[in-house]
Amino acid sequence: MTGTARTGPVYVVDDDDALRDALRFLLESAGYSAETFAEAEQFLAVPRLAPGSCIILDVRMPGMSGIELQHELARRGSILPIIFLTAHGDVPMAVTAVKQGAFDFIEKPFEDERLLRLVDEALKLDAAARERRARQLTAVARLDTLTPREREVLDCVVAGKLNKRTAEELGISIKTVEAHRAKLMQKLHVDSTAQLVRLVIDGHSAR
Amino acid sequence: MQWPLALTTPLLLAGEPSRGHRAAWAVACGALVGVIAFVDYVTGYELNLSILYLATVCLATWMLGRTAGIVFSLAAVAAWLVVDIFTSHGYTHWFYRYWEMVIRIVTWLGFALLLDRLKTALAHADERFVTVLARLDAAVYVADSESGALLYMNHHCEEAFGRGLTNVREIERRWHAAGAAYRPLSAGAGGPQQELQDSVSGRWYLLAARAIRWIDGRPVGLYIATDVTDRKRTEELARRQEERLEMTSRLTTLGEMASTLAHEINQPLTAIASYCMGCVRRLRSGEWKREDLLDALQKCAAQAERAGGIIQRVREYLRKRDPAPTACDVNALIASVTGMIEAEAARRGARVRLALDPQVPAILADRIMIEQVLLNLAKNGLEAMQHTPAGAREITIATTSDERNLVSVEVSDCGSGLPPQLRENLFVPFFTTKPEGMGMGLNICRSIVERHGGRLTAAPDPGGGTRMRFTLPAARP
Repeated sequence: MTGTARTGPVYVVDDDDALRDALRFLLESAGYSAETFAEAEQFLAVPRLAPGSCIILDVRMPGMSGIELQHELARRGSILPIIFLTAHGDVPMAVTAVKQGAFDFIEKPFEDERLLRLVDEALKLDAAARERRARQLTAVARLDTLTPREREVLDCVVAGKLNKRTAEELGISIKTVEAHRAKLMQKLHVDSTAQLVRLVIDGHSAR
Repeated sequence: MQWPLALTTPLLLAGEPSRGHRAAWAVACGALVGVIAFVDYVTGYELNLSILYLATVCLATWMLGRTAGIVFSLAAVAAWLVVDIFTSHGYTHWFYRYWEMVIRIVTWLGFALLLDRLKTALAHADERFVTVLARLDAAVYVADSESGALLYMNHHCEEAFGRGLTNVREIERRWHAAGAAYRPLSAGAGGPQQELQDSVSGRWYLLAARAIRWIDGRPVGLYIATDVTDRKRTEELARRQEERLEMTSRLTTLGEMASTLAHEINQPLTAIASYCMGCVRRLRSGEWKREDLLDALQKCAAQAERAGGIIQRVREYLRKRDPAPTACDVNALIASVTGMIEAEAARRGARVRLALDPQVPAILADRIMIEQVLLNLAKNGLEAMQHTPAGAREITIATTSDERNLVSVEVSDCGSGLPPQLRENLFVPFFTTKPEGMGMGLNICRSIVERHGGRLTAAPDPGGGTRMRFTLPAARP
C-alpha cells in the first residue's frame, strides 16, 4: 500500500452504515487507518483524539448535525481539520461551514482521488500545525532556562548588535559577553545565529 | 300538512270593498231595514220579522265596518220602535216597550262590536301569514296536479319568476332549459329535494315538492324553492381554493420527491464508488487479501440493490398515478389554471394573455397532469422575465390545431431568451439555472407530455423571449 507511515487515524462520522464502511475500506486501501462513528454524540465521547488526524463529517445527520458537531469541537478547543460530506443542495451550508473554519467540503458522490487528496492535505496541515506548535513549546521551554543576564545578551544578539556594542550597553567586558553568548547557545541547542533567531521567533509567537 | 290559513280563507283575501260596493251594500242594508219594518207594519207583527234586523246589522258591520254597524243598529231600533208604536202592540205598561227597545239595541250593538273585533282578528291573523310567506326567503307556489294551473304564488315567487304566470309548466320550462334533470312531482309522492338552476336569472334553487290536497279537495303540488345561489357560490369558491392548494402541494411534493430521491440514491452510489476504488487501489498496490476484496464487492452489490430498491419505490409511486386520460377541452383546461397563473403573474408584475383558438378539438389527456405542465411552463416563463422592464412583462398562452389532429399549446414569455448552451441542457435532469432549483421541472413536464403521445419543445420567440410548445393528440371522435 502507499503511504504506510501515516500518522493518526481518520475519524469518519456518518449515519449511513454502508457509506461509513465503504469510506473506511477506501481509506484503508490508501493506507490510512479509520475510526468510524454513526453519530456525533458517539464521536464526542472519545476521551482523547489522536494527534495528526482529521475528521470526515456528514453535514446532514439525525440528532446532532455535522455543523453542530463542528461548533462543539471548536468550543472544546479541537484544531483537527474537518472535511464535510455534502449532498446536492447542501452547498450553501457547506460554504458556511468552511467560513467557520472547516478545512473543505466534498459533494457526494465524489471521486476517490479528490477525497484522498483532501485527507492527505488535511493530515499534512494538521501535522504541520502540530510540528509548529511543538517547536514553539520547545522554544519557550528552552528560553525559560536562561538567566536574566543571558536574556539581555540574547536580546542584543537578536537585535543584530555586535559584541563590542553589547558590552558597552550592558557595562561588561567583551570577553564576558562572548562567554554569555556561548553559554546561551549551548542552553538553547543552537549552532548558528540564524537558528537562534528562528527559535526566538517561535518562542514569541507561542506567547 | 296544514298550510297557512291564508290559503284556506280566500274570502278574507278579497280585501276591502271599493267605494261603489260600499254604497251598494249600504243601500241594500237600508232597504232590508225598510222591508222588514214595512212587512211587520202591514202584518201587524203577525210574521214578526224583527229578528231579521240582526242580519242587517251583521251584514253592515262585516261589509262596511263598525260605524255602519252602530248606525244600522240605531236605524233598526228606530224602525222597530216606529212600527211598534203604529201597530199598537199591546204592553201591560208603556215602560216595557222601551225596555224591549233597550234590550234590542244592546244586543245588536253587542253583535256589531263583536263581529267587528272578530273581523279585525281574522284580518290580522291573515296578515301575519301573508307577511311570513312574503318575507320567506323561498319561492312558494301551489299548482294543480292535473292542469298545472298556478293556484298560489308568494311574493318571492312572483319576483323570481315574474308576475302573471298562470301555469306551473312555465317555471318547469326554466328548470329544464338550465340543463339540470328536473323530475316532476309524481302523483301522491313528495320525492327528494332537487338542486336546480333557473335558466333566466341563473340563480340556484333547492326545490322541495310535496303532493297535498287543496282547500276544495283536489290534488295539488306544493313547491318551495329556496334560493341557494350564495351557498353554492361559497362552496364553489372553497372547492377552487382547495384545488389550488392541492396543486401547489403537488408541485412541491414533486420537487421534494426529486430532492429526497437524489439524496437517497447518492448514498449507495457513493458507497459503491468508494468500495470499487478501494478495490482498485488495493489491486494496484499488489497488497490485497482475497477475502477483503470479496467482502467489498459483495457489499457493493448490496448497495447497488439498495439503489435499485429506491428506484423501484419511485416507479411504484408513479404507477399509482398513471395518467387517466379523458377527453377534455384544452381551452377550458387552460382557463381553469389561468387564475393561478394570474395570481403568480400579478405578484411578479406581469400580465397573462390568452390566445385560444375556439376551434381546437378535444384532447385525450390526464387533466391534472397537463395542468401541472402548464403551471410549470408558466412559472418558468414568469421567472425568465425577472430582468424585463415591468411594463413589458407578459406571458402568452396560445392554442392551435393542425390538420394532423395535433393540438399545440404554446407558452411564450418576453424574457431574455435562451442562450444556445442552455437550450442544449434544457431537459437534462438536475440541470438548473435557478439557485434553489432542482432541475427537474422541465424534465418532468417533458415526460408527462411524452406519456400523452406529444412532444415538448423550446424555441426562441420572435419577440425575444422563449416559446415553450407542447403538442397533444386530439381525441378521436
